[in-house]
Amino acid sequence: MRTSVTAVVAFAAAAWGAAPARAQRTLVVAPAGAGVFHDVQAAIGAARAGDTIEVRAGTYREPTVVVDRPVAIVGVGRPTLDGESSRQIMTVTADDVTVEGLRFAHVGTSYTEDRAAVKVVGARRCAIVDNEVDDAFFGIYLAKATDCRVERNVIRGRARNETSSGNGIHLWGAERILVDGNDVRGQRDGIYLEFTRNTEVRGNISEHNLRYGLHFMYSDDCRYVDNTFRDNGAGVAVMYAHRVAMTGNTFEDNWGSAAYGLLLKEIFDSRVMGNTFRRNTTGVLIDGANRLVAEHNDFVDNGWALKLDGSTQDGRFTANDFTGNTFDVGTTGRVLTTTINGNYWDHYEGYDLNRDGVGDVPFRPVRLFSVIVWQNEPALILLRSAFVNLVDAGERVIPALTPAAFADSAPRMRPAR
Amino acid sequence: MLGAGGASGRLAVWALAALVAAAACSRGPRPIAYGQDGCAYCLMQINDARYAAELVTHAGKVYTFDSIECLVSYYRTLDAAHRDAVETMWVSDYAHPGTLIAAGSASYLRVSGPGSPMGRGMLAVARAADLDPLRDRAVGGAMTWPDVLALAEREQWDRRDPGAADAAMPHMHGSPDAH
Repeated sequence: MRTSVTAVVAFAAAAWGAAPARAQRTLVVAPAGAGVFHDVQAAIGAARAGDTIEVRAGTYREPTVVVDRPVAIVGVGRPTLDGESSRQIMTVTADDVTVEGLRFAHVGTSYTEDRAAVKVVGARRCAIVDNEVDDAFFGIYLAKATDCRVERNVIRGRARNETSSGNGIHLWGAERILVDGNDVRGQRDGIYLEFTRNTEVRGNISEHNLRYGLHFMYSDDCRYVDNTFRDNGAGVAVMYAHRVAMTGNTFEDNWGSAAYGLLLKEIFDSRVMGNTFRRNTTGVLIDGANRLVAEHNDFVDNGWALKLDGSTQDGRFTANDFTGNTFDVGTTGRVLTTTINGNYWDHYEGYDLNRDGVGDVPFRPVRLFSVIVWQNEPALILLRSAFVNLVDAGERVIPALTPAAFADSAPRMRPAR
Repeated sequence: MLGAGGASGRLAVWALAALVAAAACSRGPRPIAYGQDGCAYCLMQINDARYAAELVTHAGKVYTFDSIECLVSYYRTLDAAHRDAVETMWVSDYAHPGTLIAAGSASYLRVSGPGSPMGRGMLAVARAADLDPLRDRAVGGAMTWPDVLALAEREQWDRRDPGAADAAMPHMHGSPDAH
């Protein structure tokens, strides 16, 4: 260590002569060799604001690295910082820190602290870009951070069981964060937002996570756009949030008795636009939504395309396409103040005599049998029976148990998309 | 041969009946299947053995919850008749994750910072001394079950989301841990 300190003093002296005192420098960290630092923390200790710390290929095992000044830590040749399954690897407490091109491996599980590969605490304008995270408890964790970017990171969790896994990208009490182009799998929740505002989650792939691909709690004014959520334990959950925009995402292959593409729980003034829900036990499960607008979504090959539970008030479902779903819509039979006009339903058997593209008789998407199945799941084995078809046909003519007012009065003859 | 078979058959029936009776009488909590059971209140999948809770009715029906907050909120939505149908309520011992303890005899604490599934930072322990290591993150002092119900009433847990003003939000100092 003495040699590297001497080296940096010499280097700094040279820099003094050649450039103004505040010029940015590059400090090199390498596993061996003279004139370089041998661990990341030592380089940070010697760094000034604005410096770049270049970490060369190799594996570094050192106590939790604390980044307490505004520097860029950039890996060259994908160096590994190894937490040896016993500690958090890096903690960022300063503003304007960049962490790029590193590999973080082996963050141990802890019941008493949320250990992460990289945890940013109370800092502004951080950039966590193009890193790999393997076998971490939590991956990238931002607490009380603002104006940060989390981009193009690849996170591979150990996916053993839920209690010993943390979340891949975890935002807590954060504001104005961009989470873009990351690839997360094998964590508890792939991407998690709690008490987070004005944040955008864009173009990520979140799959094979134990619980949710994406999980929102108490996070208002956020957008998630063009993400793919696939084969997660329970799908995606957006809960207790206002003004969430969900656009152009794909939710697919979420199968299991308690799985869904998307769960909306206690949601206000939110929009679900142009998404695809494919091959889920339930495409969208709504339990408590006020003023929800859902347009131009594709519901394809789901068990249930849409389940409405609890109070779903003043919602509007328009220009959505329902194809190949076992059940189009399920409700618990309560009064619904949600309209579902102008959608395409492949189960529609009506006609269009005036050829204006709109069916001449309403479509009631809630089958009587779906009400029975919701309340008594084993009844599902009767799905293909002639008796059930007869019961459903009778219910369509004279609605007795299904909500009569809940009908599409202008069903499309062709898909909207 | 036939007689012997009949005797052992009867014995098996009695043994089975005794087993069923024992199970029915034990009145303990049913173990929670983490990663499979859902929360009866918020619908989330239950994952964290430090916070999960459970309610069992006289009829033996089991409701599982991801947090103390959800158990309490659910309980608050029950009318008097339904509350009478509640046999027991259980919360997780934070100091011994995976162990369910009777809600009425546990000691409770609210801590700041991330961690609890519903953002309000409620946790419970069987031994009050186990709260000591958590004091530096505590918001307020130790509570009993009636204290927790009173707090939920004051803050209207089943109606109001926790927000920036709530105690479970981080303070700039002290939490979250920066290790």
